[in-house]
Amino acid sequence: MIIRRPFRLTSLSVALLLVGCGGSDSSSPGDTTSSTAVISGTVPGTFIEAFFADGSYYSTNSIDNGEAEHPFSLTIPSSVNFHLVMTTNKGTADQIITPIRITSGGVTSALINTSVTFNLGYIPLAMNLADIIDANGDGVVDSPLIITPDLPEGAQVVEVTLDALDSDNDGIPNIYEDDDNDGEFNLEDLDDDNDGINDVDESDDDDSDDDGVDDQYDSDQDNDGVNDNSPVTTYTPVSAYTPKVGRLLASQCFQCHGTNGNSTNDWDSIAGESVSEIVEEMQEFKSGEEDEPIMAAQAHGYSDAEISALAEWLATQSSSEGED
Amino acid sequence: MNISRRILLKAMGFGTVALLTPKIISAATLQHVVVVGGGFAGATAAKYLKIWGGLAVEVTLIEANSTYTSPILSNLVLNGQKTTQNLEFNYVSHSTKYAINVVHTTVDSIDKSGQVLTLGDGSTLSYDRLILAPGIDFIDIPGLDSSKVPHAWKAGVQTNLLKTQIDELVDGDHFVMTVPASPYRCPPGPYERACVVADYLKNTKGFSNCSVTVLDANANITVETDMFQAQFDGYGINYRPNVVVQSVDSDARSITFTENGGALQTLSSQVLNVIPSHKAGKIIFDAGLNYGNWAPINPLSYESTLASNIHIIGDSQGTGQPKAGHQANSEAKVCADAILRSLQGLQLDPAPKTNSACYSPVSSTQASWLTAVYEYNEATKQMQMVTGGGYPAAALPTTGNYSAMFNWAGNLFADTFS
Repeated sequence: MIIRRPFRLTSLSVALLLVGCGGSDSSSPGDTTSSTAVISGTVPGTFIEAFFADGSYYSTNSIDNGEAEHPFSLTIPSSVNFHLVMTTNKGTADQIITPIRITSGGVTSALINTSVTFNLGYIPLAMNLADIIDANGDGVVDSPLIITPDLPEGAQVVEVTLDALDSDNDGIPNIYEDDDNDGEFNLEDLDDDNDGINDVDESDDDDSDDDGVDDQYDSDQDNDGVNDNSPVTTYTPVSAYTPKVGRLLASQCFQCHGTNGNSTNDWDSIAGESVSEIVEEMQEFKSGEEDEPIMAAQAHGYSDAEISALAEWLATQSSSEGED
Repeated sequence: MNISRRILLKAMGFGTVALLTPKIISAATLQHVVVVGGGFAGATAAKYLKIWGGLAVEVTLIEANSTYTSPILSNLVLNGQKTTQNLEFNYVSHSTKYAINVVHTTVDSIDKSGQVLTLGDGSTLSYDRLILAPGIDFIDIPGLDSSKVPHAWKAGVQTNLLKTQIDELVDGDHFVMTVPASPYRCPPGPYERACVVADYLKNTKGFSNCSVTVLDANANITVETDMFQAQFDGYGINYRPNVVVQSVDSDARSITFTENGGALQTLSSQVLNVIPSHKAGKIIFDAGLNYGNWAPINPLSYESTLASNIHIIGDSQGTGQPKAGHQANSEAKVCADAILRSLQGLQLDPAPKTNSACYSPVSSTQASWLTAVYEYNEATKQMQMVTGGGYPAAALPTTGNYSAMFNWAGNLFADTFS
């Protein structure tokens, strides 16, 4: 549950600073690393929420520094798609909830991801209910606010076909929709379908925090801002696809030797061995000098050039356990 | 645009300052690859699309069930060395580690020209590329009710049903099973099952008067022939090739068949394990992607030869490569690489290789194996076993192979589901 604290806000500007750790090292695709970024900026008193595609949830309040623009700081996962929602006048009768959309490179989307620091620039959130269009009077602007910041390499706006967090793709996250039109957001509504049975008692409700991500796949099932998985590991995705010589051939070793050559048991890991080690071993299997019938059969399946290519690629992989 | 003009103008005004020095176009309308089926083929394809494609591609995995029970090692449920729970996997890593959209539903229909799926809940989902990995379906046998006469060839409830029936046997009872016509899922699997059951009845249960009969649709043991024949001889398994099943009485647990084209005969038994012959999954037929029982594809990309932007991997595809989980994982990687290349306008890898490897238990302590590497033949446009490799290299069953079997399966499971 989100902690609700009253705020009286007057004006707003926001700078979003994301500091990535771990980053997007495209030379090691498939790495699993713990990586976070930090959002910071200035606002006069706004509640800032970030909803992530893996179900995780991060929020912060701006800090009153006595000036018009109040700083805030928020640590978020690197390279995971997220929605931003900003709430002014929080907890008052004038509360305004503004989902954010970003236009960059000709694409407008409410989904963003980043592995780097960037500045969103000023975000002109409405402060008065009279300034927004809210036909259904639910306190959420009917159309997300579009901003056009300069996104550096490593941060991007993404347009997807299936956004679990925003099922109708209107830019307003599911939790701030009111599916049964009873005047309560799904997030706050104990009975989302108004059938008289509370959601927690319904066997078919497998999304207990109403964020659109099934509990089974939700990294933060209660939306308390604490990742339920400990330690937190996130996949560090590559930002662009590049075919690499030897990779597809090498991937045919992974069935037995583990993803990216990192075995999960006492069979050999082959990640991180030198090119010459791998080539030498494969030639010994081929010649029968080393008596391993399955590896002999496999080694016969690859030409010398293919063995070199897959060895070159495997040598670039980090060994997670440091086995031979 | 419903936000007020004043707010919008303010946004644009302030945005202009920041836009003066754009470095790159920081936006992507992601190409959407939808994978239908979360077995060894589909789960591997979804994972590797994201490992290799990363933020450049959006991947959705549609699978009816939230857990998958591996058929690999499932014959060891029959002799009590494994439970089906031991062989269950889920898609949490796919969702939380690889940022794949995991959706548990079914696909009702495919609009091939519009590239849109209609899902079980009536919603629609568009795709740029579609991968179908539905596994196998069974060819009907008159009278067969698999809830009474299990196939146990898709693991889970069926495996436990067969296990329960086997445990009800008493000394002197009969176990009869059928082997489907080639091509079928897991070539050594039926023979492996006969051995494991015979060993269990004889050596674990201590029954010296039970019989095990294998009715094979094929002319001979299809793989590791000498090894399995020697095991069958050792166990006293009654092996009968060239059998054509006519019908089954599921309540009586009796099967009517011809043998070598002869007269109809009927066998009754206390446990009847009928594994019907196979065809591609239903969705392949519904979408008109089959030629005969299987789906024809281009082995460089696994794209259907009958429809563009639809790829078929695993047991449903119609190349001569064996239908098995290890092989399905292997094909999935070639398919994922090919899709990512073609989405970027790049040439396909002209010479992909795949491989199969399989350990087969023949008792509670010993296993054999076979393996092969497949290469693309430019002339036939098909995959073939690498020439001169000496495949398949059948070996004698050993206890060393038995323990190696769990390393093999463990890494295969992890490479597919973790």
